[in-house]
Amino acid sequence: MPHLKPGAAIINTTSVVAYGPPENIIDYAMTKAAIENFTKSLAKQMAPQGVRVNGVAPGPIWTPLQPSGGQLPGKLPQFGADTPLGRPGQPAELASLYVLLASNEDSYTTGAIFGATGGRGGP
Amino acid sequence: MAKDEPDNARRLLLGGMTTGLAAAATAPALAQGAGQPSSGGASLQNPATKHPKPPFPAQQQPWPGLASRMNPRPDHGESSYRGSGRLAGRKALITGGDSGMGRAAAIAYAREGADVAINYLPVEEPDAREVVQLIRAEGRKAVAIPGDIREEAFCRQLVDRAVRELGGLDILVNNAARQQDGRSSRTSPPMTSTLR
Repeated sequence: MPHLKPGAAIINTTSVVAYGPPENIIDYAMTKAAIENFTKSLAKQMAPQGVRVNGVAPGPIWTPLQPSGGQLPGKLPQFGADTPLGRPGQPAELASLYVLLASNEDSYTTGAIFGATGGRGGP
Repeated sequence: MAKDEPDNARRLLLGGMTTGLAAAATAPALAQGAGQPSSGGASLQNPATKHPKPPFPAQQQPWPGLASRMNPRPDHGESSYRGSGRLAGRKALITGGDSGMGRAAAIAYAREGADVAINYLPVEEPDAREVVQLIRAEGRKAVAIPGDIREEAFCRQLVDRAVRELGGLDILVNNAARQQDGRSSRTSPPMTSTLR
């Protein structure tokens, strides 16, 4: 914190599970709900210092977290099929959100969560 | 997707050259299009079919997993993200920057002109090396800081080192996470590990 000057930005990765926690990842969903809340309160705390704090809430994204225990192996082949877009997101599809939230262009956005969910759940 | 880009850009350009007025109108749009993040420039893309759909091949890796061992390999924008100086000169620290959203952010930040430090677990070194190369390919500074952010002492070292090696810090992305399907185990050690 002491290193961040006015104009700096903090971006936290939360998740759709913060908004609709499933039965199988209680602990993970707790952390993501906490991160969502943390983002909003920290944004208020940091605003006078000119530091914006925002979050990104991904839906199912095709990352190594999934085949390494994040999903049960039997469920992985259908990963993302239950979203309205019918597929998981790719990390590249969220890059522009992280850029936007870090840039000067987004200077009036703080304490916000931007979703990239494939159409299901989220902020 | 990336393969489509030059063709699409060329089609736009050729279309713009058919009349002077259209060319004049297209030129700024093209310049803007080149700066658009994500893939595809100005052409319309169907989001439902833009990337692989289920079913996927069955696969399993020991935690925390590597992007390089996934099938299909995730798309972090390696061949598609085009920057336009939106973060020129910024200094960013990204946790979980070896793969997933952290890696996508690292690549995009470097292409927008930022120097980037990535944190990851030591076992994720193979993925991290790829990200470091991608950042350096943009002519930006890449700092690799492996370590486990579940340890507070390491978190302090991480920030100190990022600040020292980047010469400051303007962007912090708290992205690293651990998710383990826990239907069968609700015991304290793994839960505490995730909470940390």
